[in-house]
Amino acid sequence: MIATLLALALQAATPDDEARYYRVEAFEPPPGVVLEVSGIALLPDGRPLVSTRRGQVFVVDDAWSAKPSFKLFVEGLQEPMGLLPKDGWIYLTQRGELSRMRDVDGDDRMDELETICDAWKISGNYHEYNFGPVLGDDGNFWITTNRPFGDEPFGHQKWRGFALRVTPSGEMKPMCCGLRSPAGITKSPWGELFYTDNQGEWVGTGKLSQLVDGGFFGHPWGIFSCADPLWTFAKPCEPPNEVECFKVRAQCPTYELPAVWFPYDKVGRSQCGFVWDQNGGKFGPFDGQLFVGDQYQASVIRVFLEKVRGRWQGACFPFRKNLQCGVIRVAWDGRGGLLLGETDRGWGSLGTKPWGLERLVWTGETPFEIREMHATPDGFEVVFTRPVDGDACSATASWSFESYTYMHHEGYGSDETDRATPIVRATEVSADRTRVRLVVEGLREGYVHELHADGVRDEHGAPLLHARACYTLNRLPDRAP
Amino acid sequence: MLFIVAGAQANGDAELARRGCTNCHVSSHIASEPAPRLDRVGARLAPEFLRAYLASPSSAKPGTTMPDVLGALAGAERERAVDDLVHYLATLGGPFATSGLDVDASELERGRQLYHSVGCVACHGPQEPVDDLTSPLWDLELESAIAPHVATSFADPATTTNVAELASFLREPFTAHPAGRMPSLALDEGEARAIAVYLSRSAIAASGVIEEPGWRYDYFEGPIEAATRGFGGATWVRDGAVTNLEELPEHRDEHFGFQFSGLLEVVDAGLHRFALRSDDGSRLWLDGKLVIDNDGQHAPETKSAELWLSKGRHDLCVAYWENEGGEEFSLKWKTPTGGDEAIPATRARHWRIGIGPGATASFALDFAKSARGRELYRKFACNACHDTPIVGARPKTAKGLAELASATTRGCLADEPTNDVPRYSLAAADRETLRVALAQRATNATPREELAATLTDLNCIACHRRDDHGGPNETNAGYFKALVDADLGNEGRNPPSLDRAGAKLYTPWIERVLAGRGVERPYLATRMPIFAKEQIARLPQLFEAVDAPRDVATEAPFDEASVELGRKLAGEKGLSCIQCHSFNGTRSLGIPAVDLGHVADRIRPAWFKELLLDPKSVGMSSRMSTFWTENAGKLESPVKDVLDGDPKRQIDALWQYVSLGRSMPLPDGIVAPANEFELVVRDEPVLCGVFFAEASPRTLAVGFPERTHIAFDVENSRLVAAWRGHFFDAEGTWLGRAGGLEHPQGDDAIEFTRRAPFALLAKASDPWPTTLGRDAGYRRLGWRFDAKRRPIFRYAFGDVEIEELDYPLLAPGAAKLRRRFEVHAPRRVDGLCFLADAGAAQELSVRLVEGVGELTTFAGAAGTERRLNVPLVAAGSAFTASFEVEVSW
Repeated sequence: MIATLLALALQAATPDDEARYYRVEAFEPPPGVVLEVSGIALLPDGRPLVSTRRGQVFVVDDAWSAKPSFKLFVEGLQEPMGLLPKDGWIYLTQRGELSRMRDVDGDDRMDELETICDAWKISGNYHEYNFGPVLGDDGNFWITTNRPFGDEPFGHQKWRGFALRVTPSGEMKPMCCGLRSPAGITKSPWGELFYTDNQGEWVGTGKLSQLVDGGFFGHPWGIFSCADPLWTFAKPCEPPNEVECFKVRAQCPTYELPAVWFPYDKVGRSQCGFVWDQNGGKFGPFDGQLFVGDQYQASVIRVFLEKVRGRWQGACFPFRKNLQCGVIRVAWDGRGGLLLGETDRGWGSLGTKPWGLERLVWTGETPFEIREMHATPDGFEVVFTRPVDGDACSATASWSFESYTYMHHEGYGSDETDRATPIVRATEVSADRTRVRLVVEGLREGYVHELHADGVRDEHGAPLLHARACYTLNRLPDRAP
Repeated sequence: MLFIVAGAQANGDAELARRGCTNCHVSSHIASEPAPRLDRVGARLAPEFLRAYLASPSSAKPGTTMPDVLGALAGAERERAVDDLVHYLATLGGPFATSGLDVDASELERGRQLYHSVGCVACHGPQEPVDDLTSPLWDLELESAIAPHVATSFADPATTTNVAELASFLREPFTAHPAGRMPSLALDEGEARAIAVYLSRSAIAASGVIEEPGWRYDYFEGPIEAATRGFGGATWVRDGAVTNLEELPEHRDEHFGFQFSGLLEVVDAGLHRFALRSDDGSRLWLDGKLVIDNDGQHAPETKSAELWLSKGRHDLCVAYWENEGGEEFSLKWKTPTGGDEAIPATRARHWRIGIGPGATASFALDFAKSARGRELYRKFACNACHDTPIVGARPKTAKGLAELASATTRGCLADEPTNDVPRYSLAAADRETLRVALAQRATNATPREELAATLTDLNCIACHRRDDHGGPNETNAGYFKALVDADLGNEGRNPPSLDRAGAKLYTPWIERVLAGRGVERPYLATRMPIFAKEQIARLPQLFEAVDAPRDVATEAPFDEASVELGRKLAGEKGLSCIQCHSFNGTRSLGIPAVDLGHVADRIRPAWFKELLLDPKSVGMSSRMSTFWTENAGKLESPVKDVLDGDPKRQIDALWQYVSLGRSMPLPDGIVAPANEFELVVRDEPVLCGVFFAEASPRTLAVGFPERTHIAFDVENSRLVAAWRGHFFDAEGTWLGRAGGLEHPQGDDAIEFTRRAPFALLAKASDPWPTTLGRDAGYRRLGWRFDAKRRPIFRYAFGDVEIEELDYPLLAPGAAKLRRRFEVHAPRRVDGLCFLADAGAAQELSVRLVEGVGELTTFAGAAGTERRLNVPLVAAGSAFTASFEVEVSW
């Protein structure tokens, strides 16, 4: 009997195992409603509001019942990629403007829309998406702008590939330059803003970065805009080509490295919207961490962040695959579940549907996962969701590492370069057996350290649900956490 | 086949023209019909046929109007003259191509069905009994399948011409025969060739039919833009056979097309599902019907269809083309017993049918003979009738037509013509007709006679019935077919009756139909022929003169309030016209009867009302409903809650509604088209944000239920365009990565001149600024909805804030757009002007509906400008103005 259980438990985790811990519920819109979801927010009364790439916004009634209904709030918007309720208005970014709209008479239909800011012009290129808005702690709105690809029939325009700040009265100030395809922007619980970018030219692989005022994030497309007096920071330098990313800053002082690299295909492929879990445990054992939607892989990724010598860095983990379509938006449902906004149009994704809205719900059962991964001066400390088998985890052979970095260049994406194999020299399991300290030889700043914890077992001999973690080691800490 | 019904006089004139009499006997009244053009006759006709025809026109081509002009020659001399003429004609565009052709059974079958359904039979008679046509030729014995040509009104094309020349003649008959005796049936290239193949079937030898395994493919190159059978316009490169429909035979990388054809063996009768995947476009036909349309330039896309197939062989044809970039193609199926899979090779056969070079013997051009032939051509005045490069005089001896009235038993009209005149093989009745025509030259035919004569002369009555004459008859009724399975009764098969056509149809509509631009019954297999312009020029007026329609001016004027009642009557809770009739392209729930959105363009109101009151009274009895019941001598409507259930008032309301034509709001209960990108406007406006060509990438397209629609450029705060009818297919904005530059869709689009709507002018006559939007000091404030959910655009010009509401009014046969402006400023503003319209190119009528002052006209750079001075008046602490203009076109 015990042998059988063990044998079962020893098998590698399959996607179905993920479903045991996180269940997916799909929303079925009525015929004729095409939910190419581009933005999700909750109204003050808790009902979801969903925008689509076709320029519609729906109010979802009875969202948590078997038969939710979708009421058309408004249509005719230009590809709104985010919704933000505030003070009785819904703020949104369209292609050409930051707007706010509201329903005055309470019939769930928009009555008026005001243009807050359209200080950027658009060229008529399909790829000039704008993401956000996000409300900063200073009361201003933040937007990230995508660069165009192809024809610009109405002329080459400024401020593509930027993070823009807009005051409530509509004054725009460009804050960050060099973004590529910044499909997610979110404020952290502590007030700093982060964004995700997608692999491509000048972006070695998908990344999560903190938006630092005046920062340059590597893509030269929009640099010409910085000659405009609206840009008040140091002018970004033309970045070097074919240099390891962590060396760029030596030549371009305002260049910002990401907090987390997402190794291509290992942990997603095209990262989009993300949120911090602040559900106090309702979404499982990862309170305080980030959940990132991945468009191509139709999956959700988990990220653990920590600040080391003044800079953010951390680890990313596969979390939940096999969604019906690529996930570009994630939002909490107010009940501890995660709403997933999906579309694959023009980009393609795994999954079975071209678009949709799903909800990810914790089943209440705790998966055996690496909960946290901290850098230490001589290695890492790994924290688990439940006590581990001390013997299995003490064995250095249960752990292995690879390290690599990415090139900064104009080619599409970068290989994992300058590979090495750091060696686990010693392990130390904590008294409560939920933490293991690893002493690792061969750590390198500026490199991703990819951990394979294949030999780790819990008290019952079960392996990890996901044994891979990719830690972006920008800086080695000078003291233990 | 000629029907003589009335109007001997008019008929005689037509005869004189048809036979080319006035080419020699000059007349001031009658212009002869042009004879066939001979500039390419050497390529078009086989030399052997030319020889036989010149030797004896009426026996080589019974019923021909060409006389024998060589009557003065006999024996060897005559033979030599014919030979010389043949050699001369062979130089005109020749040589005649005699190579054989290798075709597929499906093309032969397609031609067979087309010949017997599109209308050829009405004049030329059938080639096969109607019952035989229910079996495809591959289910027949080989001998029947390639049955010999049936002599009808034309000689066996296998002996007179070749497939390519016949096809091009069928497609554009006027090129060679400008008289238009043979009208065009608007055949496409593939259809014309299929009919030509069928008509040339006597050149198929039994040994030339080979059944082979697999599918036949035909490979084409060239710019291709649509999956049509035979890829009209592309270059055919080669054919061959394949065993599966998943791998393409050898081809170049870009700009190519494949047509696959053959017979699909179905073993188990039942539902079969086909999935056609391609990049770029493709189409699948089964048994001649389009089953899957996956056409267009697109990334790999799969489209499927499910249909019931009987056991046995079915004709399958697939066309696939690739433009540039990625390519992909596959056809899979699912049989009642199997899963999704490729069609097994064992299920595919095809026939390879060799069409021989016909009966033409080898012909070697002899230039000495052709030089002599050229002289003979001139000598016998062939150029009196035929338009050829040779210039020559008319025969000097011919008298003018007017002088012939008393000499109608001599010359060409003598019972036994002498050798020195052209010999027409006229029957006694023909001679009599011509004699009467010549003798009564002074009398004018009445319109009624002329109409009857024209309908007879053009053989309209072969298909159409009028005054108890003509239309399908017992012997040919079976060849008049419907293209749809839905039961539309006789009206779904037979071309419409022409009884009172002039009272029924507006004269301009008759002109459109005759010009081939008024196909209103797409369900009829028989096509309305297109005649030569001169032939039909007088018909529309003749119909009007004879049928005396009631004056439209006596009808009640347009009444907007009735429109909603009419709309309700058309809908599901009314008389439910939507069950059978389409509305401006939105399909009916049931059978595909004529589109009511087109009624206003076609039908006169008096006839419409007669029809609705009693369909039998206008001869329409089979399918059009009679709605009313008689109760105590009074007609009652089943719809009681509209206009007191009074049929006459309800019919009036329906007329008011349909008179809007393309502007008709959709009735309740009609179902939106399946195209997922089609934006259908129902009871409230529909909005779509787009990139708009020549405006801005921030443009809002607004569709209104009144079916007049607008595009408003938000970036530049100005109205860009307006159009009627169909609102918007958003595919360019919503499909794939999208970002298409959109244009007005629908009909009657107008574009407003590229100017800002307001300007501050120091002098009223100052030129209007050409700057727009932010360059002109405009700011965009947003938009809001009014109670009818119409967007009100808000923008500011300096510190003047403006609200603009553009909304359509219902208007029969025209578009009306109201533009309402509310202007608000915190201070007094002088010199504010509004520009209603600029540019003389558009037929716009603009008037001020409400407001102070009047529109004044200026000559601007873009044409005439209609401007309005907008004085602001104090209102509390602010200054305001409001005005409204109406634009109609």
